Amino acid sequence: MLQQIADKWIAGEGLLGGVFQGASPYLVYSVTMLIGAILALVIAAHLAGIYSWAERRIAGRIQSRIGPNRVGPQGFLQWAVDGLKTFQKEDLIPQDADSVIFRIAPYLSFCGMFLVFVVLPFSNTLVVADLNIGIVYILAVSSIEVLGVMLAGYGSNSKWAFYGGMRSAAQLVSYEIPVGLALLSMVLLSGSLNLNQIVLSQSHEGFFRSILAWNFFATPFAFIAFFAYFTAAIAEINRAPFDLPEAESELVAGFCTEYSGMRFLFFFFAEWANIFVISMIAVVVFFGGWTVPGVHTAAQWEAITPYIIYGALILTVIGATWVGYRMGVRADEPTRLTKPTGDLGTTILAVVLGWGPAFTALAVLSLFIAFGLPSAAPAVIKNAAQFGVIFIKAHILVFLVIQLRWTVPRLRVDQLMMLCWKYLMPVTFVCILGNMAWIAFIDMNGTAANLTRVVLFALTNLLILKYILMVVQNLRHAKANFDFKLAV
Amino acid sequence: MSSLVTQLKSDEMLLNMGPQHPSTHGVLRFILKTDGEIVTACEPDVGFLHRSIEKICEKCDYPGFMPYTDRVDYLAAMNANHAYALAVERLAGIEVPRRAQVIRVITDELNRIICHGAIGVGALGMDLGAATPFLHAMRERETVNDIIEELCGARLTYNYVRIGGVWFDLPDGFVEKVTAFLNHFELAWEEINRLLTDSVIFRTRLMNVGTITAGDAVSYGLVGPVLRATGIKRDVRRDQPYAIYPELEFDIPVGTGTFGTLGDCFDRHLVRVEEVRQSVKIVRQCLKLLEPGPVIAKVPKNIKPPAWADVYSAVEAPRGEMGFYLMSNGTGKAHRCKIRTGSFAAMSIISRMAPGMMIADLVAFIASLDVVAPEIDR
Repeated sequence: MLQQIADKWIAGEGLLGGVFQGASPYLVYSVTMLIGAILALVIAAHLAGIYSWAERRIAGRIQSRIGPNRVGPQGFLQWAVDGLKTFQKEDLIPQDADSVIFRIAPYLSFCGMFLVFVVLPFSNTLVVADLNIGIVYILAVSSIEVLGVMLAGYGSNSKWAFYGGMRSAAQLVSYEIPVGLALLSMVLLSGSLNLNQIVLSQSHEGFFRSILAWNFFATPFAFIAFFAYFTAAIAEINRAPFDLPEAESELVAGFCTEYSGMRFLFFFFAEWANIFVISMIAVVVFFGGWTVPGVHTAAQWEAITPYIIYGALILTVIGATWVGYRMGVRADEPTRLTKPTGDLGTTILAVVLGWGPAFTALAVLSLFIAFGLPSAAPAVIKNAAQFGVIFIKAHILVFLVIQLRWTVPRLRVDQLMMLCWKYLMPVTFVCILGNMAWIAFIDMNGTAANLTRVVLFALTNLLILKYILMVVQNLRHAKANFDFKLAV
Repeated sequence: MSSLVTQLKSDEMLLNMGPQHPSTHGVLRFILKTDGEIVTACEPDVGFLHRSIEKICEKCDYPGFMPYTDRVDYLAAMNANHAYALAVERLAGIEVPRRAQVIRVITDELNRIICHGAIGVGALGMDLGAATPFLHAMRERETVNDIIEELCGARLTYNYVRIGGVWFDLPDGFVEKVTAFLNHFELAWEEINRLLTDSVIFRTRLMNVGTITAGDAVSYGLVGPVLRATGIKRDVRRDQPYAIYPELEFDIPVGTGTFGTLGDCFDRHLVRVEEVRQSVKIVRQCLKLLEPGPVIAKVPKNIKPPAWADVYSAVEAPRGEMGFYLMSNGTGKAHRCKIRTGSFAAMSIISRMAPGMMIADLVAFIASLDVVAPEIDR
C-alpha cells in the first residue's frame, strides 16, 4: 500500500500530493516507509502490552486467582503502567558483561519480531510492504531473533544466561526447519510466496464455499501441516511448553537472567508480539486470512456498506448515550464503572466516553443521511471488515497459545530436540510430498477434492466441539467445587 | 546417557546452583560439575539454615522446646510437634487421653495432605514448568490453614501439640468444616491430578529419571515416600504404631513402576498422590472416633524423667520417619537431643544419583525427593 501512496505522491496526486511535488523519489519512499514502520511499531507495542495483561488475567482465571484488576477497568491499563515503570528503571549492565553485545541483544531480538510485521496483510491493502517473497522473507528475518537471544546469553557473562543462550541456539535453529517446511508445503497449494496472493487463492464465492476454500481444509496434508507448523512456531518463539531458554525453574531466568528495566522489557515485548505474529501467519496461510465469508465482489461491498455504517453509528449513539447517562445518574446508584458522586473525573469520563462520542456519531449520522455516503466508504468498510476478520481469527489462536502455556509442563532439552527431528521434520516432509502428489494427481475442483474439504471441515468442527465441551465441563466443575469457601 | 555422549567430552563447567535458585526449595546449594547439559558431579552444600535446634533442646525445659520443633520442618510442624511430644511422653511415662490422640492424628493427616499436596506434588509440577496445579494445591492449603488457624491460632508453626495431649479442644463446628473440606478436596485432588499426573509431558519428564533401587534406598537410609517408591513397604504408622493408628484402616502405597522403572521420580510422585488419598480416608475415620473427654493429661509443670533414661521415638512425617532421640539426666532439661529427619538422608543420595543426569532432570530429581531446607540443617 505504501508503494502506491509513494507513487501517487511522486506524481503529485492525492492527499498531500502537493507537498512532495518535485521531491526526490528516495525522500518520498523514505518518508512513506517511516510512516509505515511507525504504524507497525504502534500496533506491535499495543498488542504486546495488551497481551501481557490478557495473559495475566487468563492465567489468573486458570489458576483460580484474580490477576491484575486495579489499574483501569478490569486492570486493563496494567500493561501501560508496568511499561512506564520498567522504562524508568536504572539501566543496569553487569560489570563483567560484554557491554556492546549486552546492549545490542534486546534490540536484535525485537527486530526479528518487528520485521515480520512489515509483510503481514491486515487486509487486502493494509500491508506495509506487499513483498513477492513474503514467506521467504518471514523465514529469513525471524531468524534474527535467535541472534539476539544467543548474544544476550553470551554477552551477560553469566553461566545461567549462557545455558539459556546455548539452548535457544539449538532450539530455535532446529525448529525453524519444520516451520519453514510446513509453510512451504502450503506455498505449493497456493502457488505463491506473496501473503496477499496466498489469501486470495483461498477466497471463493458464497459463504460456506469461502470457508471451505481455506487451505486448512484443502488436503489432509494441509490439515496436518497446520498442527506441525503451530507446534514448531510456538517452540520458535520460546513459549511454554517449549520455553527452555528461559526455563525459570532450571536456569533461573535463562538468557535474560542479567537483564532488567527497559532491555528486559524489549525481550518480553518481542515474546508477546511474536504470539500475534505466528497466529497471523497461521491465519494467513491456513485459515483464509482476511477473506470475509460471503462478501467478495465490489458490488457486494457496495451493497452492504450502508448497513454497516448506519448500524455502527446507531449502535455508537445508543451505547455512548447509555454510558453518559449512567455516569450522570450514578450519584444515586454507584456502579463499578464510577467512583462516588459528581466529581470532576466522572464528568470528564461522562463527556469522553459518553456524550462526546454520542453527539459526534449523531452528527456524522445526520451528515451522511443528508448528503449521502462518501464515495470512499465502500473501500474503507471493506478494509475495516477484513481487518476485523483477520484480527478475530488471529486472536482465537493467540488465546490458545496463552491457554497452552498455563496448562502443560515444560519439555526436557533432549525431548524437545527429539520432537523436532524425529517427529515434526518427517511429518512436514510428508506434508510437502503429499501436497505435491495431491496437486499432481487430484483435480482441485473435482469431487474428490471437494469431498475432502467437507470431511476435513466436519472433522475440524468435531475437534472444536470437543474442545468447547471439555472447557465447559471443566468450568462447570470449577463452579461447583472450586469457588469453595468454608462457612466460618 | 548413551556412550556417544560420554565420548564427546568437552571442558567441564563448575556451576553453583543455589543458594538462591528457584528450584532449590529454600536455601540449598549444589555445586555442579557440568559437561554441557549433563551433570558429571553434584555436591550438596548444606548448612545455610543451621540453627542449633538440637543444642537448644539441651538448654530448654521439656515443654519449652515445643515451639522449636515447629521449625524443624515448617511445612509439617504438626508432625514434628507430635514426634517430640511422643518422645517426652515415652521418656517420662505419660499417658495421653484418647481424645487428644485422635485430634493429633487428625491434625497430622491434615498437615500431610497440604504438605504432599502443595509441596510434594505441586512444587514438583512447578519445577517442571506447570504452575497451575501448584496454585490449585496452594488454594487447598489455604483452606486447611484456615481450619488449623481456628484450632490453634497459627497457620504455619502451630505449636499445638503439648506433652500429654494437645493445647486446645476442637472449636465448634470443626468436624463439619473438616468434612466439608474433605468432600471438596477429594474432587479438587482429582482435578489437580488430571492436570499433572495424566499429562503426557509430565509423565515423560519423570519416567526413568533418578531411579533409586531398593538396595540403595536402604543403604542410604532413605525413609518415607522416597523409600516406599522403591517398593519397600515401610511406614512408621504401621511398623511402630503410635497414637490410634493401629485402629485405623489405610493402605500404604508403594512404588509399582507402572510407568518407567521401579523407584523413578514418577513412582515417588504417584506414592505421594496416593498417600494424600489415604490421609483423607484416615481423617474421615478419625472424625468418627472423636468422643468427649479431656484433651490433655495431668502433667507436672516440671517434667523430670528418670536419670539416664533414653528414648527414640518416631512418627511418619510427610518426608518420612521423623525421630527424636532424647536422653535425660534427671533434671528438667534433656541431656542430649538428636533429631532424625527424612530430608537429610535424601540429600545424601543426590551426589550418587546426579552424575549422568541433565540439569533439568536434576531439578526434577531434587523436587521428587521433596527435601525442605530447615529439615536438613535443623
